[in-house]
Amino acid sequence: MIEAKRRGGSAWVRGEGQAGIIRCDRLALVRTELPGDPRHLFMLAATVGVSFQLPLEIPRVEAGEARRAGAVAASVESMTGEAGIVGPRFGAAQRNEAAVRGESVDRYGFGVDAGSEKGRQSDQREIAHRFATLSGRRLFRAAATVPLLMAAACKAPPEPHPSIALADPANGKAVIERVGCGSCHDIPGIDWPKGTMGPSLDGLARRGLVAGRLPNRPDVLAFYVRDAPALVPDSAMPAMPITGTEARDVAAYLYGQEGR
Amino acid sequence: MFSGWPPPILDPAGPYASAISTLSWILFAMAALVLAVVLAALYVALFGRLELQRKLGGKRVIWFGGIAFPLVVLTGLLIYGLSLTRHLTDPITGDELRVRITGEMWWWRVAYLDNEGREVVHDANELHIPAGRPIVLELQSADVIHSFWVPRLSGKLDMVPGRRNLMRIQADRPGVFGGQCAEYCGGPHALMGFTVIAHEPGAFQRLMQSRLNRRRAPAPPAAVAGAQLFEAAGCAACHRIAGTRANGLAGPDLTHVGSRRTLGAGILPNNRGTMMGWIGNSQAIKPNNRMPPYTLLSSDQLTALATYLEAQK
Amino acid sequence: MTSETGFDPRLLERFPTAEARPDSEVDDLNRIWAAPRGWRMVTIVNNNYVGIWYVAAAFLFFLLAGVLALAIRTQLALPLLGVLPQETYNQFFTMHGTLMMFLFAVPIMEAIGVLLLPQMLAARDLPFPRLSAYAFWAYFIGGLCFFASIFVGLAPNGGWFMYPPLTSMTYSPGINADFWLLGIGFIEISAIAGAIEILVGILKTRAPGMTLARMPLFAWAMLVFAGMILIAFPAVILGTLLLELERALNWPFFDSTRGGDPLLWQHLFWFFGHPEVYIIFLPAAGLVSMMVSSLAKTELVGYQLIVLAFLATGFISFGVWAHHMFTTGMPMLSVGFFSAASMAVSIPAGIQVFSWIATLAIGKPVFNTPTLFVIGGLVTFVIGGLTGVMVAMVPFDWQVHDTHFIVAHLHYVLIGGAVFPVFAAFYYWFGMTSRRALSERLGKWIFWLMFAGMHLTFLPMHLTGLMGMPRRVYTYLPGMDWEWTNLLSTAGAFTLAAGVALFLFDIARRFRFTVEDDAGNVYGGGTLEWLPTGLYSSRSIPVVRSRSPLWDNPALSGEVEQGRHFLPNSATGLRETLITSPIRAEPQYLQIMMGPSVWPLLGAVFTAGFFLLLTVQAYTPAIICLPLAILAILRWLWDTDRPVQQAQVDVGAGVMLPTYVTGPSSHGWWAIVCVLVVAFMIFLMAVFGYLFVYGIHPEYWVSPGGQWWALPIVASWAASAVLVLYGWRLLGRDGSSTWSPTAAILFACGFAVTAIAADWFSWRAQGLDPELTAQGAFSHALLALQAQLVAVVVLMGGYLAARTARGLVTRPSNTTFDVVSLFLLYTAAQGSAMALLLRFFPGIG
Repeated sequence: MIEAKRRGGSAWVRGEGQAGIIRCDRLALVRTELPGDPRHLFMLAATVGVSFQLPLEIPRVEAGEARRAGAVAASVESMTGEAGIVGPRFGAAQRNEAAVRGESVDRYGFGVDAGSEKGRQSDQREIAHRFATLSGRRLFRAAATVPLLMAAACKAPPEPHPSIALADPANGKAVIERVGCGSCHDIPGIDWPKGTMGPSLDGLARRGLVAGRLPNRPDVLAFYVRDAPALVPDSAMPAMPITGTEARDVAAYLYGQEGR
Repeated sequence: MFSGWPPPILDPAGPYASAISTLSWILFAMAALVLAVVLAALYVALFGRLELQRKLGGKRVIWFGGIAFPLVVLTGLLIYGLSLTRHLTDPITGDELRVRITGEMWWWRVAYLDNEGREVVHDANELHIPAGRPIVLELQSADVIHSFWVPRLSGKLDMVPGRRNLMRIQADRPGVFGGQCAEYCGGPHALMGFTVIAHEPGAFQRLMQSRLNRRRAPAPPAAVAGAQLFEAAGCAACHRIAGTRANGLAGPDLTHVGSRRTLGAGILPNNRGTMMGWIGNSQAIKPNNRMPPYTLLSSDQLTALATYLEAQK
Repeated sequence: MTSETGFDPRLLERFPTAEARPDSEVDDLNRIWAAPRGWRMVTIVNNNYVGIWYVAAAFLFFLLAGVLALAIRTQLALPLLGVLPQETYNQFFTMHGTLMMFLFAVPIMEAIGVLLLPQMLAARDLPFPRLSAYAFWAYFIGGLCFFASIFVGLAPNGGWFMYPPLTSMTYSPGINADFWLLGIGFIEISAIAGAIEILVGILKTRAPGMTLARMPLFAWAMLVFAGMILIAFPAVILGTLLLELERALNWPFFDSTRGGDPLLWQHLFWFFGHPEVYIIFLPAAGLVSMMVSSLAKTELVGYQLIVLAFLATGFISFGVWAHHMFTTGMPMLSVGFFSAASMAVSIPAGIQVFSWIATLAIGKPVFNTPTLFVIGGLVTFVIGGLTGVMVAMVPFDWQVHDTHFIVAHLHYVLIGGAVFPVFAAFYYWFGMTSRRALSERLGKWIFWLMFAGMHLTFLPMHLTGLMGMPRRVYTYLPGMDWEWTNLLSTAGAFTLAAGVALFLFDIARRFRFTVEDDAGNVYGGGTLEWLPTGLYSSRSIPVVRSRSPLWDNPALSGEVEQGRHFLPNSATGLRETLITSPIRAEPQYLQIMMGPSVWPLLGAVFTAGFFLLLTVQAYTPAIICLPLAILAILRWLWDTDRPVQQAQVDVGAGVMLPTYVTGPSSHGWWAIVCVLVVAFMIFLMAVFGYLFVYGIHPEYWVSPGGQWWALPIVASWAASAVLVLYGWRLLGRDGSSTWSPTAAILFACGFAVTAIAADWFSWRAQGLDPELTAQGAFSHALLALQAQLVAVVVLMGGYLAARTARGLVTRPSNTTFDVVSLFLLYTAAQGSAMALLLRFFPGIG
């Protein structure tokens, strides 16, 4: 039994067994708790409240420690449909539904370090701080962006410039430099190093897929840059020591880079 | 490696470099003066008044401008330069801290020596020194000719196979000073950097003491997998980590790699990403370096190795 | 007036003769000196053609190296660019340096010498026209093949200085390094051939009355230049030989693990490499000295001082090589010496600069293109000289050595000291070989583009160096503040290239090769090259009475044209020129010169084939090429040294001169002495290397046993020498057959072979393995050098025997016989010295 819960306790998503399908409505945080042995399936840390219906196949759930963040996930094979977006399983009605429901999502209330109180608190503080420093204009714009984003999330291909509201691209660049993403990726704006072990991240916003199989969406990307093996277990990309907020910043930075 | 502005040659951080910095300014002044004289003479010769031109147009000018003037300037400079050279190469007393640095293609092997000249602490690509006192470096090469150069601390000196060159450096204050190989040594010569870190004497003592006291390689629980993998994946064949079975000498000593500021010989900041990226495919970052790519390592394995290596402070 | 040779100076007073000579003699000259047409043009050996080809080829390599430089600058424009990958970049900068130094700078000076000197000295041609042709073809073919290596990625990548152990087999296993070693070694041979030609030409073929004190300064410069080549180039020839031996046979000359020393290469290389800078600069200074005087329309101020400066430069330049090695950890004493010498060498340069300024001051310079290039070159060179003084200060050098500061310094010196002067010379002397002069209007554009581009490229580069950017880096990391100076330098490089491209355009538009109806003396020079000329140079060879004969005697052109001076015709009906004495230029005899021939070309093709095929390890074709090359060269020599019927001829105004002279006054004697100087320098360098390596790693050395072997070996060499001297005496005696002296030489050859064989076998018996220690390697290398000489001796013996059989060896003396004898005597001397050195040093212990 897999259960995905919204932070705060109420269950929104249920999955059947280890190979079950998680249906995810308006949730950014998915947490599974296996009976008797609480584990955390931490995935798709959406940066804004994009809600979506997620047909997710989970072939494998690895054991994690209780109350520990950044656990382990499974492959998301079913998401690698056409154009890499959730598309195939979405009917027109569902899309509308998603768009409508999106408005109701608590945009800033998700925890990111799901299991860790400390991490969550610090995240919340960060978010609160950021929120407080936003100018009214930006806030307005950010709010206005949300529905668009949700539409983007449901259409294939995605908008050429998906951006992430309230994320800080400049900080994303600093994070990229701090943890050395460039040693495997050629990233625009990062002069050195420019590794080739991973793909170039130039013009990422225009691509169909992340990691060749995931939908190219801010939330997916933000999760992926932080803990790639959780989404794609055979990925050569290791998990990176960054917080969820930082991951969103990184994703925002990457989306902000025009192709050369 | 280091930043170019202000020009490190003119921004000395120790007595050996500052003497040369002073000399540089004197030389610039000399060059400006002589150039001004020549240009003025040339201007007069081409556009000057006739009587001035007449004065300029004789053998006397050659004797004065071409022989006497340079002779005086050059003699002065030579005396100054040679006395400076002598001062900078004062005999080595023998009680300085000695460090043996060996140039390799394309990194630096570092060994701190004790009073008997034995190598006691091993490191690579990074040199810790106490501020305020001269350090003697024994420069040698393991393969081709390299040249050791930390411009803010001293001039450069070659590392020649079969020879041992002694060099003194000193940093007046704690700080971090970049350096790099200055003699073309093939392939990625351009990416062969070096870092010198000067500490307060007390801090330096503590650092050395902790390194001397280190008996076992730290392997916190999270790093156990990495420690096993380090041997299983063959890293240990080329790299040494003191206190473990890893005793390879072909590549840089990794005993203190976790505390290093840089990876890849002074060219990358040391962090999780660069550590894993370097292990995975250093060839993409520093083409033709001697470390093969390990693209077959899975993400978990990379993480495990990085966790282990980061613990090697 | 005293005489140097016994020639009566009053005879010179007969010239100009009162009456003009018949015009039919000009037709004869035209017929005799006519150049072959069509595909036979490749057989041309006349200096007007070979000179212009030579200049064109050298300029081609300048352009190719320039393209490489542009690629390099593009790669360095910004950090981490990928225009040139690492390996390609390393090949490009190696090729850029190598091409510029070996295939442009030195050859262009030789080329200008070949083109201008005969006219300047009023000789019909250089004394060994076929040698010029051989030197040119060898250089051209060898150079092109060498360059082609870059297209297949096999170009050398160890830097133009090729420091081992980076270039040893261990660290450079590919054939890239072999391309450099064999290609450059081969091109050096061509440079030496050219130098011998120029040296003998200047000393022996000047117009009568052109004493050393009246010689044009370019000739002075070329004299010092050629002398320096003979002394400096053997060092690098030996170096390349040793390194190639180390690579091919694993003989450890430079391998410190077996008792060799990598610094030995640096000593050998820079003993050549530093004088090379002055080898490049001196001819340019000669050109500038002549042009300054013409452009300012006045005699040069301080002619003697400049000559002294040339000689001083040549002398001091051999004492500065180690300033390239200040950072290798040399002893303090040597550092002081080389630092002082490096500064001293700037004094002669100061003399030249102020002499030019003084000349410009009293003259009335017009601001035409050559003047601009001369002045631009002067300013640039002064800046380069000043930074040169700075790096001669040892502590400063410790900081800037091998940084871009040095790159800037050397380009200031070489572009200011050689490239700008050469461009000035292109403009100034263009009228000598082209029907139309170059455009003055475009010329100014070209100058300003090149001048601005040059300074934009290299002035910021000083700062790049002070900011710590090393040389020879294929890229640099961002964040080091090197971006903007590098970007400026790249912009400058393209500006400079635009100037050169414009120059090419103008050349293509204006250049029409001619010798007779050329554009002429556009800038009003006063030296002999501006006499009316044909392929035979001036119709008659004027008596020279001052430094600027055309200014001092405006009628001279007419007199020469009317044949009222020496040799107004072809006295023997063959190509010929007047040989004069080296100091006072008194007529000595008439040299019969060689005409067109395909053999120098074939010789060059096969020599190039031998070296280049060896490089690509095609051993069989290479081994086939070697005898073919030797045969071609011997075949060309076969035509030489043929006395003509008339023993004495009238060279004008009743002055009678012999047509065949042997011994120390003959040009052949001078040439072989030059060759022996080269051989001696190679030997000397090898001995230096032997002692140097012993000094560094004596612990690897063993005392050789069997000292008694020296006795029979030296005795054999002595016997060989005695036989040569005996043969000389036999030749001087009257007799019907010339076989007896030849037999003496052949026996001498036999003893030489015996001696070297004995030496070799005694060493083999010692069991000293050449692969084991540097001592073994050096012993075997010295033996191999000696064996090479003996192989030449044997060839010479066979050649002499063949000539004897054909009755070509004349009594009482014969040049071929002299040449063979001198060579044998030298071989015997070197062989004895070597046998004793190897056995008694490092001592019996």
